[in-house]
Amino acid sequence: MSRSIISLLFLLLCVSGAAQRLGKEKDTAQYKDRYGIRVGLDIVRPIYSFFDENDKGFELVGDYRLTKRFYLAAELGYRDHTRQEDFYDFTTKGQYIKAGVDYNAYKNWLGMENMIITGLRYGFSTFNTTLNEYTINSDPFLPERTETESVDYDNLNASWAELVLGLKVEVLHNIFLGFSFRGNVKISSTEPENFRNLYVPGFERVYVNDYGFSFNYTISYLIPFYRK
Amino acid sequence: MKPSMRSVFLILAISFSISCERDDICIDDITPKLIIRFYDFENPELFKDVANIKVNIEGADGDYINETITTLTDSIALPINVGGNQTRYTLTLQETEALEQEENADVFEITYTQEDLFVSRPCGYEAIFNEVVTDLEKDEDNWIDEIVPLSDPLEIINESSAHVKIYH
Repeated sequence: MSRSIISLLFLLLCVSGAAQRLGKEKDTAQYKDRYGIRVGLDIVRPIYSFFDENDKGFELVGDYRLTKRFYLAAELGYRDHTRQEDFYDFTTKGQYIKAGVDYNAYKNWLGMENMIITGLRYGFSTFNTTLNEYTINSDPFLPERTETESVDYDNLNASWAELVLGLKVEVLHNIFLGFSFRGNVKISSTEPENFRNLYVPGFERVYVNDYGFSFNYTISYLIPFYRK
Repeated sequence: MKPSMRSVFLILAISFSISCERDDICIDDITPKLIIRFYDFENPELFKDVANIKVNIEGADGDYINETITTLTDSIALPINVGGNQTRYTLTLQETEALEQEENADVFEITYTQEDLFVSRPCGYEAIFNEVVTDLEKDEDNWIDEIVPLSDPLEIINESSAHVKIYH
């Protein structure tokens, strides 16, 4: 009895091995990558917006596959950000667009469409900033002075270059989870008089030498157009 | 998802969600102080030290209620009140036996207009002072002979040089 089981198993093993070899050859001959447009949104921004009065916003993301490794990519977003500094606080509201290319540096197994992204973007934002109030930074032992009348700086804009490092992983059929980290360098901006653009939507916090960082977590859906 | 891919994703996602603490502190020049240099009344070209001087600023709390400078010095820097457009200083020479100095309080006032300037992210706004006018209150025995602004009109925009001379 046991002998017959063993020989049966052995037979099955041989057959399955042969089947696998056969299947593999078929795959390499026939598998084609999917090309299409992928659209999604930042999943962390809405949560931030819900819990934090001072940091509201959303971001839509999208990419379009050009070649095996290159994608056209863009982000579109809105931010309403209030920041309290030691001696003043300000609110910046505005929208931004980032456009550029993604390069997939990851060699996928057959049938997989994950990405390790290195990319470049050009970013542009138009925004309004309100200086809500400020206190003169002076000797702490003397009476202080706080100006509570807000000052509006409208129609400001900024542009920047952005380096993208990120991941996109297909977690369910056609559904991707993504994460990206971005380093920004400001190219141009209209600075408000007697103030400074300390925050730019899309660019986020502007550090001293006009550089910045941002990141996003996205969920996106692939709409395949054709296979190649 | 390949296991290696999954772990890379997790590590990256976690490491970037731990955000940084702010580390910026104000190191730029902020609202300037009034810098006074003391000169010899008899010999106007020469500095003349003051010793054991007490400074009171009207409206101040803490240190400047009774700030005492006991060492010899030929210059002092006094904060200017941004809460109003004038600051009243009382400079008191204190009794010092070694110098045969008797207690003598003199009062002077500066009036000015203010202008607010943005400095930097951590420092915020400073005030600078324009159209500064000095006024020495005469009493029966002034130890200060004369207060002379070093520029006309006097503007106090930084602390890189003295703003007024006091002859005594």
